[in-house]
Amino acid sequence: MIELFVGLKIPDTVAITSLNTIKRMGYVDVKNVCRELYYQFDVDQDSGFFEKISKVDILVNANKNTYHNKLIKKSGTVYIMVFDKLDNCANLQSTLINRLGFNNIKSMRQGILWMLETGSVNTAKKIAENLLCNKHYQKYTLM
Amino acid sequence: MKKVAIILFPGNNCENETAKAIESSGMKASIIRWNDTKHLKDYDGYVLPGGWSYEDRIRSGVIAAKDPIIELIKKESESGKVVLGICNGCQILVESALIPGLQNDVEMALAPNINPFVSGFYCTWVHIKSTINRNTAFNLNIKKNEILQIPIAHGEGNFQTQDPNLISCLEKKEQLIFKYCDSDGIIGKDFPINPNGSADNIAGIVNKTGNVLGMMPHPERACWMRQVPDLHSKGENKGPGRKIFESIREYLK
Repeated sequence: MIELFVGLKIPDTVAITSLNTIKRMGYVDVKNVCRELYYQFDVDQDSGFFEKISKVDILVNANKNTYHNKLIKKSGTVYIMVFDKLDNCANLQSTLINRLGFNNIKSMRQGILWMLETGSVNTAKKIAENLLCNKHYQKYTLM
Repeated sequence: MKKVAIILFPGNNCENETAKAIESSGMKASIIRWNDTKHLKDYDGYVLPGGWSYEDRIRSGVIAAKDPIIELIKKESESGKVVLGICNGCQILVESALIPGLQNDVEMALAPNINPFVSGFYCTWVHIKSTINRNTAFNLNIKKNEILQIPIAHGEGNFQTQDPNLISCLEKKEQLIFKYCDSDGIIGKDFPINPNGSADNIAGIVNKTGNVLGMMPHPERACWMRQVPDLHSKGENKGPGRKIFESIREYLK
């Protein structure tokens, strides 16, 4: 399994708006919100796969994105992964395989990793349930 | 003359044509900004128009659903005032639990479209029909099973719920006011009749008391026949979408 985390090196307006909304909802102890797109690949023969997939510009735009393959947690931050239950990534997977030649991808999934700078896991869960995730088509996991 | 406020969030873009639709139906329309709530109570009804409020950040409608004006509109709707949410407005009503409104909790989602050919945003003309017997603020001028030709333009119009009993409950309560159908009125769950995979072919839902409607098609874009494909030779005659706005006027009388 290969993981790819893609963040922004330009200001993340989605994260900024999310933080403003979180504070307006009353969760004033949340100091910051960051966000990364998450891709998980199940591949045949992963030799060099991460180096190649991280250069695909539909996933990583070198002008504005950062990327890495390992989640390193910081203390005081709660990590929440949100997945779309109805999304099997069929279109993206087809593009990667048929147009971009990644024939060794067996399956993949994508999600959004939210990083909430708060000491409280309960606060983070409430934010996930009331804002970041609609349980009727999404699910979240605490990382 | 009854007064209707069109609530303009940052990123909405359908406010002007919505105003024209309201005024063509004999009501006065005012476009008010989301943070201007001073005179909100002066209006007889409210429309949350289409567009991309807050750029669909996090997901469609969720940021606007948390805005203070929505709590005020909720209170006004509880006193019987009319609320119509169109497309992005419908998404806001779902994310703020105003629709379907059985509990004080979000009971549904407007998930990304399921479409075998087009990923993401999809716009086309569809047919919907009114499927309920009871009168609401939005179907006084529409007979049961009457077919309306109205356009859709959205990427997240797929009504879904994880509650296995909700859809049948809404059916019994006659809240599933509009469903996608073909030009003969036959409801079919497959594309293109159902353009987005919506559960039970749902195109619009009213609340229990029938004064709040969230619908994904755009009735303001079918208010004159000249807007409707194959009917534009009929020019300035009333289009199918007008019936929803004229129903609101009748209801408010």
